[in-house]
Amino acid sequence: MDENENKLLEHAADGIQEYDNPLPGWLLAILYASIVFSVVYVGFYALAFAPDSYDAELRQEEIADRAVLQAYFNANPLVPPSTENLLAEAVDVDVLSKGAGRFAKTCASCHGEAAQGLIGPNLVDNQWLHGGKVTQIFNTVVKGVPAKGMPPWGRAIPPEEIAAVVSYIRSLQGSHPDNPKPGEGEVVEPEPMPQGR
Amino acid sequence: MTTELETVRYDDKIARMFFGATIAWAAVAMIVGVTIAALLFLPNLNLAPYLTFGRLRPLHTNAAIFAFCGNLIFAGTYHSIQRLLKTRLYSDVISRVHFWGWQLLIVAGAFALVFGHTQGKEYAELPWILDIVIAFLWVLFAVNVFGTIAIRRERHLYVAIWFYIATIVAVAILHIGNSIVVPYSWLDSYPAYSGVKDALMQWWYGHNAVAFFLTTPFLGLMYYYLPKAADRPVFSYKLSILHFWSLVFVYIWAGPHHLHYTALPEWASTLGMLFSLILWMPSWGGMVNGLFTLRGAWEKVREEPVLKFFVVGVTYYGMSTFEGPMLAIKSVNAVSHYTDWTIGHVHAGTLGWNSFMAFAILYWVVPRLWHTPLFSKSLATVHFWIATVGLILYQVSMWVAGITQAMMWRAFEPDGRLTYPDFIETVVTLVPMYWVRLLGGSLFLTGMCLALYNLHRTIGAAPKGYEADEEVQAPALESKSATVPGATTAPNTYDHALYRVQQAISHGIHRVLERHIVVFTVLVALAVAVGSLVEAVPMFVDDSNVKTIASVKPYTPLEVVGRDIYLREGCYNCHSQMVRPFRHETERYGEYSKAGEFVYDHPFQWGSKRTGPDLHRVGGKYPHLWHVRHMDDPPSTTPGSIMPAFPHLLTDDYSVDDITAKLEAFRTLGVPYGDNDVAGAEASMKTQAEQIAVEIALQRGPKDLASKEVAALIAYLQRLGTDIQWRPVERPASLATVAPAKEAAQAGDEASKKEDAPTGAANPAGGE
Repeated sequence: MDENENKLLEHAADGIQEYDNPLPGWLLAILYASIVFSVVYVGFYALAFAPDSYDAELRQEEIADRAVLQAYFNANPLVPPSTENLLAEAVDVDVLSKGAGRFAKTCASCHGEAAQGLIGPNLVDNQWLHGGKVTQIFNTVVKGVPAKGMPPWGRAIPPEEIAAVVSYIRSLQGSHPDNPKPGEGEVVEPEPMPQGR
Repeated sequence: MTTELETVRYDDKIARMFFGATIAWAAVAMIVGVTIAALLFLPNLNLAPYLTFGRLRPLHTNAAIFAFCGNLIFAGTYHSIQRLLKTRLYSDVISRVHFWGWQLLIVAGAFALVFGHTQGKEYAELPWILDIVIAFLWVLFAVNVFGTIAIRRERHLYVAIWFYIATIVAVAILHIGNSIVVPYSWLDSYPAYSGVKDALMQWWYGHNAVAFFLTTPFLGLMYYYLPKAADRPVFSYKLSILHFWSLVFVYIWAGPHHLHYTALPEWASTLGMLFSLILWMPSWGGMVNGLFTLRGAWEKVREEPVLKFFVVGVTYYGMSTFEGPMLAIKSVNAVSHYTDWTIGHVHAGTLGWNSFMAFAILYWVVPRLWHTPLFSKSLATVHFWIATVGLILYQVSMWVAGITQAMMWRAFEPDGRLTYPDFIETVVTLVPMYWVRLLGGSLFLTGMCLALYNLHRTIGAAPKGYEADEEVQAPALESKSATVPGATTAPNTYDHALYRVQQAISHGIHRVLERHIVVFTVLVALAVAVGSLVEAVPMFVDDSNVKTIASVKPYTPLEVVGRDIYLREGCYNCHSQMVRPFRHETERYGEYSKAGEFVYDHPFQWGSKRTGPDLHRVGGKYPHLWHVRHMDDPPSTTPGSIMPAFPHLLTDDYSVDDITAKLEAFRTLGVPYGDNDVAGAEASMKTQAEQIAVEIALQRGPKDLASKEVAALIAYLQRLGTDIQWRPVERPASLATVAPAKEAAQAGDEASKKEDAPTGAANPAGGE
């Protein structure tokens, strides 16, 4: 770059000189554009949105979402598993390993790694607080017992996995883990498995 | 006209002291940085209670900002201002008190943070008593700088000095504005503001700490050292004027972009976003002036590590001041906020801009101040390349981690479930990126070690007598009232006055302003004040900005103590308390957070990063025992958790003695505790803690927790977000509505606020 193209200011600061170059056009253009955009945005915002629009937007989204979900469930109705399904799967090795995986990940922190009971109740004995039939257990997992700190897992875990966990729990009936939590609730004899056991 | 020359002896010793401290603290800040990069995802490395991520992360940020960058600012300012004004520093005594005071402050601050004395507000964590020390030392700095300006031999103030003045004025305003507190002990206090107001003030401060501690002083340094090192004239004086004033005026408005989609009123958020966008070009003005100054010097860049560091430093300034406005756009921020993207952005600025500028200046100035050539230019070049690779690894890993996690948070299944309902799933996915970040940071630190060695050897080779202050000859300050050449009338007549006005204006109006230091400083203060007042005043005078909620009550004494433990352990460094009004957040956490819920939160604890999940609706979500086990050993409740263990909470007694002082402090701030509340505080704590302990024992937990800190912390956590009643959003169909059996009595039908974990996404395994 030829220095003669740039006019130097006559003054120097500790030997540092300064050119008197004009402002780059593109820089000014973007600066002005950002200011114009801001004015337009404020105008648009003031006219098009009501106060509390975060709330309004969220509620609108929820309504739209509900319609989409309704359509989805119309096409794919939810079918809860039957007692027979749940019991049959309690001897299916593939299902049980899937159930065991989910149990370890989600349930063990409160019910203990061997379902012996910890924060939550013992799941291997024959006493139940919310019903001991497999469909009842399924229901309890789906809806949770929020008052006692058990979340409604139906909102988070796919139905097949909940069914697999219930089958897994059924398969643990009568096992003898270390340090079992004393039984709570009414005594319910487990429903018989298809092939005995 | 007299051209008599006077002898000026620069105080180079103080510059050597501050530059030396800069090098030392840079190494410390980066060592702590790499350490916490490991502590973040390797929980077993945390050594509770003192050396945990939550306590060391503030140590890292404070060391990097105030120790490393702070010392460099003082060093560069003191070194350059004497030469720009052709005078010795105003006071050697003030300089020395300033130096030693600042170093002691840093050491005291480090101890305070490690021992858990924190104000709980990012980059403003230091205890109130140290805040006073900071203010005092800052005044000394100001006296020294303005005193030097007053005894200058150059009428004209060079652009670097404009930036130093802006720094001094704005940091003083920000520091005082955000540090108003009511103390309850020598080290601890509660901030005057609460909730939304505290958040606004904090990010007004936090964002402008970036502006006026990490940007304007560094631009000032750039304007001195870059043209010096390149031996080229500055590209454009006009651009200096434009970007200086626009930067100073616009920056201060941008703070609320840290609070998009929170309980902050939307008008403030909008202002924050728009001024951030406008800020783009004012910021780039500095980059353009820096890079274009190197025109004609690119040959030297190939040879000179100093210029290499300048080029990448200034380029990274441009990069991060583009990224900043982009992240300030609400819809972009909706994705980036609370993720590692923010961390990546910050480090683009601090590593890319601040550190590279620091290295450039150090490699240039140390040989000059110690009168010896740099020990090894090639080692400096190696440092440059290692640091650049480390920086890129850091940034890219954080981009990938941030965007990955944001996408996982918001992913839904077709049946309305969150794809990743367990928060921990979104955490463990990032671990490979945390390794890459650790590698990048380690490379950067390796480069720092090379610099340490290189500069140490350079200083060691200083010749005898290097301590002598540099002497120069400079003419005395020309008289302000220049006389008309060849005049016959007295200098105080209108003729002369008219002549002076013509002369002044012929060089542009800004040239006049640069000579009137008081006017200049007042204008800077006004420029900073406008944005501050427009955003803060309505927040404090217009109650509609924070709609009160009748059911929101002050914390109980035990909850107050628990909250102080939450602050002490630095939980806010990884957990937010702000559910944003997004479907994926209300599904995951529960009803979004309302402004009125935080009116008793001194300080607010909304956080800025979710390494763990949001906690605002955690109250009632888990049984007490879950929390006990989680604090004692996080993976026991959350397999894969990267949270450090806090076993001391189960063994240490919570503090009882200072509860009266705490409640009185809150009363001073207007929290409506009655006389009975204060008088009965101890009894109330005991009752509440015993009740919690009994419930834990009933759940088969440890039996002796009634006096332990964990009981107080649980009291606080179980209170969080429960002051309002809310229900999960209804689904059109779910297993819960079509499930088979009716026979089981379900406790889940309760509509009370006790309906915890209502979103269902809640997972004990998500409590990381």
